[in-house]
Amino acid sequence: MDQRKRKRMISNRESARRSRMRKQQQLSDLVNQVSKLKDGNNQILMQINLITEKLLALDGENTILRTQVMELTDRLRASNSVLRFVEEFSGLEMDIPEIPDPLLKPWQLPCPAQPIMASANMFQF
Amino acid sequence: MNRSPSEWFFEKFLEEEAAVAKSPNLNPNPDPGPNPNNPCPSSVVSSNFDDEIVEIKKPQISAVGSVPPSTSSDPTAEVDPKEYAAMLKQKLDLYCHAVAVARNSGIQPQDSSVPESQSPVSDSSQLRPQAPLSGGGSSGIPAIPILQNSGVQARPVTSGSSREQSDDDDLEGETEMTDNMDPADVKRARRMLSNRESARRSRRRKQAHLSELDAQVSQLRGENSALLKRLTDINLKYNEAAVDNRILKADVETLRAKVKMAEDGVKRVTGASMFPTMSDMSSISMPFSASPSEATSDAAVPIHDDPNLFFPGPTHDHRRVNPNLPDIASTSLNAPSMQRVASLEHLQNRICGTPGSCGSGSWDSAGWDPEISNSKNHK
Repeated sequence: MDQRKRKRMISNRESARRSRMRKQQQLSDLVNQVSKLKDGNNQILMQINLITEKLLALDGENTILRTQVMELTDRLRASNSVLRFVEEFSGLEMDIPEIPDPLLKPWQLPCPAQPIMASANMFQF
Repeated sequence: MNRSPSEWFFEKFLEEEAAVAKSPNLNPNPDPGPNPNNPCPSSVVSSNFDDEIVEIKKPQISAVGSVPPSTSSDPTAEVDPKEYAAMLKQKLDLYCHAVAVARNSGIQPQDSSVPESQSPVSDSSQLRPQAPLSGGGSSGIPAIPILQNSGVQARPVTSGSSREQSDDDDLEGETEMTDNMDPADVKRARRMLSNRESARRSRRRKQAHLSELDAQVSQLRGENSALLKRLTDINLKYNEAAVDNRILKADVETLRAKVKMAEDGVKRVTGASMFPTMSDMSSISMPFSASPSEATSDAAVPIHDDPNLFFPGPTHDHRRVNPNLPDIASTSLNAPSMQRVASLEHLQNRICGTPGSCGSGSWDSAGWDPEISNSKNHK
């Protein structure tokens, strides 16, 4: 009888130790996970900020470019009309560059999606 | 004795109980005085539901078969087994009844809350007389004997889940016990009590810490996925903007070339006479629109005005030519019609062969406009 008791006592002690180890392991795993997730989140946040900055810069530039395109198109239209007029009168053969119709390029709308930062309506009134 | 361990243990427990019941004072106290050679036997006996580990230790002790610590007051007398059995049965019924009463009479919560707040107190003021603690329990004094017994008896019955509460029962059982013991044991009992308290608190803290970590992990995971989504969105937008950028740049280039070509043509036709081409084309401000606006304002003014009226004009004009894009955009729209009229007039002059208009053309100031040059010619 004593033998059985001792064996059980030893096995209990073992299982106690194992469970303590497991619990300790669990805890340290959790702690690692938390720190890992925190680092990951910060890193992603930094990336987001970086790209947002670049995006804003690009949007600004795009807005300027769009204005230029509109302006140049107007100039072109203006000078073309003169040339056409001259052609009519003087009969001289004028080389009139056609105006690239912004609508031709399907992907490039005259006023594409509202740029995030620069307010497009600044130019329409 | 091939009884199962728990049955054997129960039998032994009841034996102890019977022995104590025999003692003179009516206050049955199952907790035998702490046995010096065994660190915390009473805590083991009275709070065998502390937690698994304690339970594990308990069978060990019984397995080792150490003599059950006898109460210091009086040795267990030899008692006839039959009498035992009768007495046991009667006690059992009594205890079960008491447990039922204790459970629904709400005394039980009082235990779990009061000792909870008191335990730190008893902990901090170790040497204070027992009064406050027992006083705390005074509210249940009438029921103390029952509570006491039910506490004792109930313990083996209560399930693990209500462990916290049963733990608190011991607290009260404990205080009763210290009244009738000598100072040395009292100190030891108190220390044992405070240890148990601190053990319980540290377990709770650990558990809280663990659950808090769990919550943190899940919260961070949520945050993580949200951030990832935002990142992909931003990336998408950035790529779109980059594409637009490239296209726009290409457009501007082609347009520039065309405008240059067209304006060269115009220049060739009108020679330098009519619209001297001012600043180069690359600058944003539109030279073209500057002069037409001048033409418009000029049309409104009768032709024979003296020239100085126009001189301020150019300066005024220059101011307007500042990169005020909207303004230029609007004037350029209605410019072509006016400009056509001017060019028509000029053509007629050219056809009828009146040279000399080209001189004025060389002027680079934006202010000069056809009418002046014409009027000059006529004079």
